[in-house]
Amino acid sequence: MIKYIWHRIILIIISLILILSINFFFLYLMPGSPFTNPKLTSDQRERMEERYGLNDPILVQYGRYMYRVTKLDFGGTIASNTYKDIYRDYIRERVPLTAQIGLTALTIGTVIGITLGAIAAIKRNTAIDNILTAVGVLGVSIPSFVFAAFLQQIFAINNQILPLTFTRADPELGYTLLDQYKGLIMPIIALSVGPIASIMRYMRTELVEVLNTDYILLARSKGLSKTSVIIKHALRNALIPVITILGPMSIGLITGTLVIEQFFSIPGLAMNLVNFTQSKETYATLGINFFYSLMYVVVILFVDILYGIIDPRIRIAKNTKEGFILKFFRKIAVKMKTKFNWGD
Amino acid sequence: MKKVLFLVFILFIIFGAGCTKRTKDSGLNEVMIEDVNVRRAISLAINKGYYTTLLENGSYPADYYIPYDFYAYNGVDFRDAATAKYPDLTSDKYQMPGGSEVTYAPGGYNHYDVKEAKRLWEEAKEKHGVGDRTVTFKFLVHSAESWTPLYEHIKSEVEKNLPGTKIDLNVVTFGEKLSIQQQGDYDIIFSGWGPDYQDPITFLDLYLTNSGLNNIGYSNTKYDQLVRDAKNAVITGDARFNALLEAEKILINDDVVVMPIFQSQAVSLQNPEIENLWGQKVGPDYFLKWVKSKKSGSKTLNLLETSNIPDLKSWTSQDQVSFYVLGSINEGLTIGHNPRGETPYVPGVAKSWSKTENESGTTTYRFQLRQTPWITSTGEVYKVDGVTQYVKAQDFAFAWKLLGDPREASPYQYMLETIGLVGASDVMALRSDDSKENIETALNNLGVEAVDDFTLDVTLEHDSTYFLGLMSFPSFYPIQEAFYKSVGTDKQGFTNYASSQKPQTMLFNGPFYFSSWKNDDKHILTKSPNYWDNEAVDLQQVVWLVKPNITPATEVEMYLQGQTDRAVLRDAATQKEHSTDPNARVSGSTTAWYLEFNVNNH
Amino acid sequence: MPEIVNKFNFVKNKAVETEAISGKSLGYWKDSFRRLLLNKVAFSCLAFLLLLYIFSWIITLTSNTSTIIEPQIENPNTGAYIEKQYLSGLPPRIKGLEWFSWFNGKSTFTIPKASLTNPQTAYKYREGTYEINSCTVDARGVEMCSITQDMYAQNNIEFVYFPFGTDDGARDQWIRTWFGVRNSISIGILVAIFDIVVGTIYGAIAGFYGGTKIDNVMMRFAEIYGSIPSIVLLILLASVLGRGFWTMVIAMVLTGWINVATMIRAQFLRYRDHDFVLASKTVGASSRRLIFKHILPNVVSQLVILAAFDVPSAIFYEATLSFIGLGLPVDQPSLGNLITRGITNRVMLPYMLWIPTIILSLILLAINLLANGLRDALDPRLRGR
Repeated sequence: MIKYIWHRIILIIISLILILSINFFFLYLMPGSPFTNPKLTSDQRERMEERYGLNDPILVQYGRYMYRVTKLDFGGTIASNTYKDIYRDYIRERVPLTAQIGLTALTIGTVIGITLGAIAAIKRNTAIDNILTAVGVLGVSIPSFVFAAFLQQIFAINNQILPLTFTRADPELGYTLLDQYKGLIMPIIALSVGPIASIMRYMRTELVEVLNTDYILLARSKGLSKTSVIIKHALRNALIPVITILGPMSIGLITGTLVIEQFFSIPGLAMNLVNFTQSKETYATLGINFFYSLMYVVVILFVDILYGIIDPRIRIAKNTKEGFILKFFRKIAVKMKTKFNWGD
Repeated sequence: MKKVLFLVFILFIIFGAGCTKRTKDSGLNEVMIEDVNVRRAISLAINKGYYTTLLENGSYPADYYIPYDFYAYNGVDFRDAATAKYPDLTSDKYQMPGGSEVTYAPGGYNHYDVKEAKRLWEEAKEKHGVGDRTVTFKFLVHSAESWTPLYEHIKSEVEKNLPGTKIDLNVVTFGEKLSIQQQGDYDIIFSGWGPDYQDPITFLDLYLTNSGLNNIGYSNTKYDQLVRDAKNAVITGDARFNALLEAEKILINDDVVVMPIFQSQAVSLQNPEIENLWGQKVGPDYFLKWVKSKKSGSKTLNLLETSNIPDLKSWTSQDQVSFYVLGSINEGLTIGHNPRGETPYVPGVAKSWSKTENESGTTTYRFQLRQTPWITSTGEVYKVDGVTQYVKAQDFAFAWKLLGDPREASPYQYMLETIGLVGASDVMALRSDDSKENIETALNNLGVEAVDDFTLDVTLEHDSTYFLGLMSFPSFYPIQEAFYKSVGTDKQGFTNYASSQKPQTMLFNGPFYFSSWKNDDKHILTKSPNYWDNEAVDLQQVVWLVKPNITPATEVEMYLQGQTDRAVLRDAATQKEHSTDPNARVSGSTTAWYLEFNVNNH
Repeated sequence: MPEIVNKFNFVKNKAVETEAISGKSLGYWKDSFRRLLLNKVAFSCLAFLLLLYIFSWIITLTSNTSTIIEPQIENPNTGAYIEKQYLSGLPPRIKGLEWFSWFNGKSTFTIPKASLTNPQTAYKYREGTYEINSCTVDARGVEMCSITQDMYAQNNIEFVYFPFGTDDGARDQWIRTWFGVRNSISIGILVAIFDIVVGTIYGAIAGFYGGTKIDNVMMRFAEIYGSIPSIVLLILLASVLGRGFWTMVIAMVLTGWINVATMIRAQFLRYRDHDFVLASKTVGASSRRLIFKHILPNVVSQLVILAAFDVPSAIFYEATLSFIGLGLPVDQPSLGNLITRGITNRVMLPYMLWIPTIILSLILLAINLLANGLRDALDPRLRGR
């Protein structure tokens, strides 16, 4: 198992290098220059380009950038005369906030989505099911920016319960910590609507399928109560495929954050990514892309490891020495496997 | 292998379908736009009054390039003088909206006239043998939500009034627009220009043959001659004024390379308890030194900024956001005051000055500086070895040399030439790869000299009316040399002075010091206790909430909920709702917005 | 005993009859179609979408009203065309439906009370065209009044009817909305088709060679490629090709196919080792034959479902991109463009927001319900439940 994970981590590092390289060459091919200020003379523009080595051959630039990355310098914005380091001036303060909003929205989305999906599946073909399905479909039918505008109008303009925009706490100026968290409520709600709807739909499908399998029938015929069968057997089993879609979904939230950042003035990375790409800030774009990619491959790693534990076909190197935690996971996996007859 | 080829084939088809869309036929548009009558037809075909009526922010439709209420000679506004000089060309005016009290926008050239436009267009079509073909003009604009209606209006007016035209609207970001502009891939471009100093030259300078901003490739010897002479004070007085009038007429009426659209005004809602927030015509938008707050109990001014500060190095800084902050944390020889009052500028660091005409034809200003200390980001007086550091004449000389240094690549380097500083043209001719000695020599020959610690001599090739006003422009602010050297440089060889989010890497000599600089959060200025004119400063604190991407409606709502003291009405919808609010203020801005025609299409 | 024999008749041996197949035998597709027809919701959604799409093409192709230039309407009183400024921002008004407050050509909005008397603006509020609903003093001490104004009466054009109103640029929203419907649905359909084509080919190859180096390289590539944010790809593409309909479609396909490929690969892995494939292989079928003739038909139902869910997400994505200014060019209406414009004007011209939003939501709702129905009809796992 450890060998497998090591194998994967090495793969991740190779992937990241490849991702950075592909991104680099992609962005390099893009026409235009960041130094578009019409007040600059051509000599000044050359001087600026020379400063950052933009005149060098592409391979030299590539080599230099990769070398800088090894020293954890991911680039920065260069168009204005004040250099802004992408990590120090953008990522360091924004990623925690973005993660806070994203993770909360995802958690809320997962919990509510799974609950509603389970209810719909259990009560399928009843009025409750139909209503929940309709709500779920509506959730993915209303554009998030209309929904955000609607929320803002109701809760921040018509009734001033929540602050219009997000502002970081600063007690000396009268912005309390409570205000800061209040400012996160609407963005989180707006962001979690999508996940709720899609997880609910997914959960319903999976659970309906699981509820019709033989082992559930067996459990029922053994005399277990309906509730305990659903909670102990069906639910847990239906959850696995649902959890696997969380990975791609967390990446998909980038688009959602774009809208939320605009409406509620959340300092986040998504809008910066758009702006930097448009203004040809190659190195700054690379820096942000790198962090997104890192997030993406780590999520994929987790999903794969989960699969590795669960799916015997993927599990490799059975007899190698395992750490305590992995052993524990393995035990659970084996237990679950024998219990639920996974596999083929 | 076959499958891989098949895959490539499919991808190729998909890409192919996309690529064919972009290809456009012929250079007909380029030939047409180089015909002066086509340009005139387009100029005449657009009803500018419709758009400004839609805006409701006090903007005028403009048939002229040099803005109204910007420059007056002997008490006569430039616009009135133009109307008087060319009565046959400039008679028409737009009626401004309003029921009982009819007002008119100032007159200009090429007033809206569909009949004439159609006639010229048909003639031109015949001349170039266009026939039934559609002429597609590439119209390059930058994306700004509030201006989309204007772009669409221009497109619809041209397509409606000039049959057989199509306007290919290319909406890109501001940066992309500038880079496409440099490549020249457009026929018509939407541009704007805010003046750097109070003289028509700041506008007319753009279209000199070799100007770096003349991307449309316009060249007219007569025009060059007139503008150059006026700029270098070869001609003065009435002759100069007349030359400026004629140059504008050549640009707009004779050659029609610029088609003015409107003179923009900004209307904003302002807390009535805040006074003396005077909008400046040049330099920083506001000097917060003068602002008085009548808010009970609070001397804090709350403002909203929609962008982070790009660059606070006063010698390279060039944008309004940075200027806004710089104008209040640093101070030049003079400081801007009420532009509508009797004193557009008042003494700043300079206590007094005197002017002498030299025998060689140059003019020397001798500034006497007052004792005002440098302040650090904690509000304390900056001391070296226990000795208080005052703003000295050497600090000005040092900063101006930085401004001229080609290695600093300052966008406002040309300001040295604008004020007519001795030696500026040599500095402008320098290249960044010149030898160090050459650069040093040229910089040392600049006409700025510290006679002693508190006496500064500035020698100009020619005196100008705007020189003293320009001393409040951030490019001319002082820099403390020892401190500048002590912060060191980074890997790329940049100075660490005014590093992003680090106010401790700066020194201040203005009414406020920069106490907190947090991107996307707050910028806080605090009243400086050691500023020389402490009693005049009423505000204790200025807080900018930084909200990039905020929507115009939200900005207004924040104002209404009392979170800010001022909200700019940034789009037609908010303007319609609030422009008649008793607390609405029209800025009196002198920014001109216009179309340029790419006359030298390559 | 004979009595007993007489009393009890042998039941006729019906064994043969009971085992005979009554009713016609149904193929997979026929059966699926039957199921879809039986699902009334899904079927009416399909009908609604088809009608809407066909209708949008008919209207946009036959109308001579421009989406860019204001409508050229002659004023019967003067004989001249109505000037543009009188056609700007007119609310919806439908002949015969004036009793209905949504279509009576009246706008309700809030302005400072001073506007009614201010000489610069008073001409916009002619006596008799408006009535004051209520007045309140806002937080800054300004008296704001909600007024309802008949915009058509104010502009003296009571003989004109715009069913969806006009936008702030005086263009007819009716024609723009139909253009938007056409463009949005077209984008959705094209993106789904291309996604399926590209994704299927890629996923089929990877899945067929599952576990080998080819598969490994292909999946790693998809993984790396998928990590480039789609917005970056879109911006890159737009800076090379220029913004437009096809750029939009390509940009969406460039990242959209990955999901399809992953799904198809998993399905192929499942079917690859089934007996019918092995059997075919042993009699010498080529790889292409195995992929396209034997395995692919088993996956088609999954593909249809994927496509059905791909259409609404593409439409949705386009709308979101429009909102951040990366959608179709401003002169090419899409529902996303229209809604974005509506959000800007939501306070003064609310109909600009709600009409396209309702239409977009209806379309997405219909496609989603149709997709649900398709899944129920096609997915063997969900059949009969």
